[in-house]
Amino acid sequence: MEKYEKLEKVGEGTYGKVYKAKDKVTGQIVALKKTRLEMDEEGVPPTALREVSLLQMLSQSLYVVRLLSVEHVDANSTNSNLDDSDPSKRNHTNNKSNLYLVFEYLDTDLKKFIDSHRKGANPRPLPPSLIQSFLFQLCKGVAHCHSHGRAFTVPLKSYTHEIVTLWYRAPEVLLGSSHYSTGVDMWSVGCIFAEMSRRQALFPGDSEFQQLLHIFRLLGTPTEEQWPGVTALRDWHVYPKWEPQNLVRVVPSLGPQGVDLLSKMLKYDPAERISAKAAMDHPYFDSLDKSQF
Amino acid sequence: LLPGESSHYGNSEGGLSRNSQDRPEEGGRWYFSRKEIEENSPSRRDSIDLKKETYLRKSYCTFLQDLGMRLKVPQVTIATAIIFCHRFFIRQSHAKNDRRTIATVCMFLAGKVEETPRPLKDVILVSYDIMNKKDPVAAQRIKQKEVYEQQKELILHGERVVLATLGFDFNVHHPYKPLVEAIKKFKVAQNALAQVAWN
Repeated sequence: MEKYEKLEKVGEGTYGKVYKAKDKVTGQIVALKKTRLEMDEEGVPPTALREVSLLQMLSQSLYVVRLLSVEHVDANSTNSNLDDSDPSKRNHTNNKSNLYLVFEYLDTDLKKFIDSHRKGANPRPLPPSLIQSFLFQLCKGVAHCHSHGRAFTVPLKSYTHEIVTLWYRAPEVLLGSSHYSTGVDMWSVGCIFAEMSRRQALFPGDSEFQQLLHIFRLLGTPTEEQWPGVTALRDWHVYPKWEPQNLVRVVPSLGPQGVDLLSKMLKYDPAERISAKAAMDHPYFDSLDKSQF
Repeated sequence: LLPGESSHYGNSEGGLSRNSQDRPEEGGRWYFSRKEIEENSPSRRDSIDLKKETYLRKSYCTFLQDLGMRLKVPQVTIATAIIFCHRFFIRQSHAKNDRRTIATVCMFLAGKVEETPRPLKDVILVSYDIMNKKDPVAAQRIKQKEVYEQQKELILHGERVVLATLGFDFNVHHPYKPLVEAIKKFKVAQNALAQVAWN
């Protein structure tokens, strides 16, 4: 890792730390995501292999953050010569090591961008054409992920429950479904779409239960008729029966086509939810010059 | 057809040039021209000639097929292990890397990647057994704790070398499924062709 000069820490999560760093040779600014690898008796965990492999494949889209390289480094070793296969120079098998994912560095992110329009000296809405352009690029990235994600492995087992930041988590996940699919991402896209227009989160829940109530209060408490099978989901309970509200009330500046697209992204039944690819053909984007993407 | 014989990705006319700085097309970094494979492989620089390398390639393929069958992994996992091994030796020399150690690592990795993992212990024991099949006395040595531990450390270190060499790229597109679909679609020599292709 001597290849890089760490400039500053730019983020921290449960996975580890993210640094802004500079490639000492090329001068390129990169983001280093450090992940601790718990090497056990079975070597590098399959979860880590899967994550890196998927990232490699997905980051081939211009609309997905680009993974430049992966470096595997012993936690307590400065030797980064990974190609060294000479057994005499070998370190002892180390159960503590770090995986550095080297990404292109991006100056900002959508959250910061929205914040800059909400707070500070000059609060102002995001221009509608910008929201349209951002949403299209988001759909394009997600469409890429959905068409390539499955090439790696067919999911055999059920998935974990702990996915996606709470505010953007789809109702089927919140209700304990383990066989969710690409629809969960479209739900998140819908939440982000609304957030760009509102400059504040659509469903800012502070617990899983509150999250569901936020959703139900806006979209109405789901019924078997609307969403077959919902009452059979693991975490379904009896909830207060809210009536659906008009979406226009929460995104007044989005326009009728925008509201229509949003409503298709926020369908309760995941099978009815619009796909990323279909979303790109929605009339909301008719006024967008798609040739630039 | 031995798997080793199908390892000539790309062809002499293949226009794909390799430039590690450029962003490769999906999987493109693993396509090489015949010339690159036959004349400029890392092994060639260590004075291993084409004939010898071809033999070594076949040898690790046979080894992997045997290892995979004895570990009872699906054929796709075996095929993935073979591709990992091919990818390794297009970037590393046979002179510096024991092919059966690398092959064992590739099988261990392929198991994890294809979600058909086999415990490291099983992989080591079966692999050691195949490597020493001509010498039953040697084959017994793996039962000694220090021999096993040494072998384990070798494979775990090898895993890191293989990961670094492959650049953590485990995306492999096997021809089997598209082929079977094509056979169905074009209704040609259905059973015979599918049979030959799979074997």
